[in-house]
Amino acid sequence: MADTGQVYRKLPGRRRGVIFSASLWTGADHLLSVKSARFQEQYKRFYFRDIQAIVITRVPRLVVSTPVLAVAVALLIALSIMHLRLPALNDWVWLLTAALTAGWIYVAAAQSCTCRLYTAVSREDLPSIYRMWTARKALAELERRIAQVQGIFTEDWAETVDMRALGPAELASRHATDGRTAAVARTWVSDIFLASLFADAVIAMLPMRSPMSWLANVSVALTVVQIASAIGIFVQKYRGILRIGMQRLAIAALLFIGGITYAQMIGDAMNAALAGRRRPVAVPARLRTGIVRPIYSGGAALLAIAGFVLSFKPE
Amino acid sequence: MSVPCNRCDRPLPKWELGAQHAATCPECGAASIVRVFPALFYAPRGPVATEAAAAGEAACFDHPGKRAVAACSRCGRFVCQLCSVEFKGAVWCPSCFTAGEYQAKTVEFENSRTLYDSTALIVAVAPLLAWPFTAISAPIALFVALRYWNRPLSLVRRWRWRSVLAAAIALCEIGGWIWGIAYLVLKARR
Repeated sequence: MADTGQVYRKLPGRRRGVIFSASLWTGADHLLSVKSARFQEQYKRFYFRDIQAIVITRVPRLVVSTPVLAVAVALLIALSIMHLRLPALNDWVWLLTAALTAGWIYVAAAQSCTCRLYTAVSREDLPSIYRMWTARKALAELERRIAQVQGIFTEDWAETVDMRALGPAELASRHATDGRTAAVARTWVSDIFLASLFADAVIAMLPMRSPMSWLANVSVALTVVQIASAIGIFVQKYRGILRIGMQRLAIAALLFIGGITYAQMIGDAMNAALAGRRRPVAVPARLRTGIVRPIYSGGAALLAIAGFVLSFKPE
Repeated sequence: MSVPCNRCDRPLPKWELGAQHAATCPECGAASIVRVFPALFYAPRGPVATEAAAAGEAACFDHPGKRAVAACSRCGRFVCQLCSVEFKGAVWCPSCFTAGEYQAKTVEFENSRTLYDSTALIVAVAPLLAWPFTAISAPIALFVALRYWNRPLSLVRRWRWRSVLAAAIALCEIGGWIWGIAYLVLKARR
């Protein structure tokens, strides 16, 4: 800020993704929306005098932020260590994992929201506000700042609001036609993705005694199908065919699969090291064994269920 | 048009908007907190009106048929209502405003910035996953950290700790390579 002279104050709420992040800041006369993609930041300014409305809607949101990922990785490491060195504490860590997962699911399902801001020429989603408690705090601060510039209503606005054009003109014409977006909740690509995820979850729970078991090969093939269909989902989202929820689920699934694969490799290496083998350890030709297998199976099943919910969620 | 629900994009009914706490969408059942501000009720501004210049009146430099309303604070050209650009308390003509980017390009118009400090840090840290690449990435990270040291940071961020950390990690990696090569050379000579 030394180069600008503009002093920004941060508003509550911050979206911290693995690659993308977002935050909101208030300046002297405007709200600054910052979207970051690690190497670059993009800014949008909304002057307080221009803001027409702010709408916060309570909706379930499956946001996998970096703090959540960090906790998940820490738990995975703790589970591996407890399994190998302190089996007596294993149940407690599982209990903690279950409690944290339940808490996260509750927050994602019941305490999440989307926030949208309207001016006469734009309709902007504010991704940094996605939890209800931060939305309330941010809204209180914004209301105060906007009231200083625009004043407050002295009469009931609800009676006359439908006679005014909220947001940009093309939005109003779209509402006049059908009020729906063109993107759909599910396509054949997303169906394949979810089916392969669910099948992989089931196969991971079946016993795989031999490293050359055909089930292991099927599991590898399903992983390839998942990656290919996830890429298909990204393409369909980019073309506006598919809604964003499925893309987010695909990203979460890919991160989960990648994380589990690395965890398995690290676990195998740790096992070998603890067993006192000093020679290089060959990575075995098998997937998801030991403690990683139920974690993978449960996680894949949860992701598949979330995907089915997203697929049949009303538009 | 009323205020639309964020979830289904259907307009929320008036009686729900009048509710004190939350408006429930009759289509999808989602509860919304709606705050509408007086800006919604401002009269829409129409196109900028310019008046025709009468005989003997000053005319716009770019539109000779239009009456001038001001003079450019930089070059002195007359400008009509359409051409006058008000910026930081002065009136500019469109050419000066565009040509004088060195002055006009201020933070008010900046819509993106490259984060060289984050770039340097990622270039320094990410190749540690496949450490042989640090032989190439460490000098690059050090170069980026030092070359762009004086470039402005994010609009909202204050500190250069990423640049400092990137330079420190890059120096450690370079030091490690020098030590490793020296060790191997000395070992080979013995």
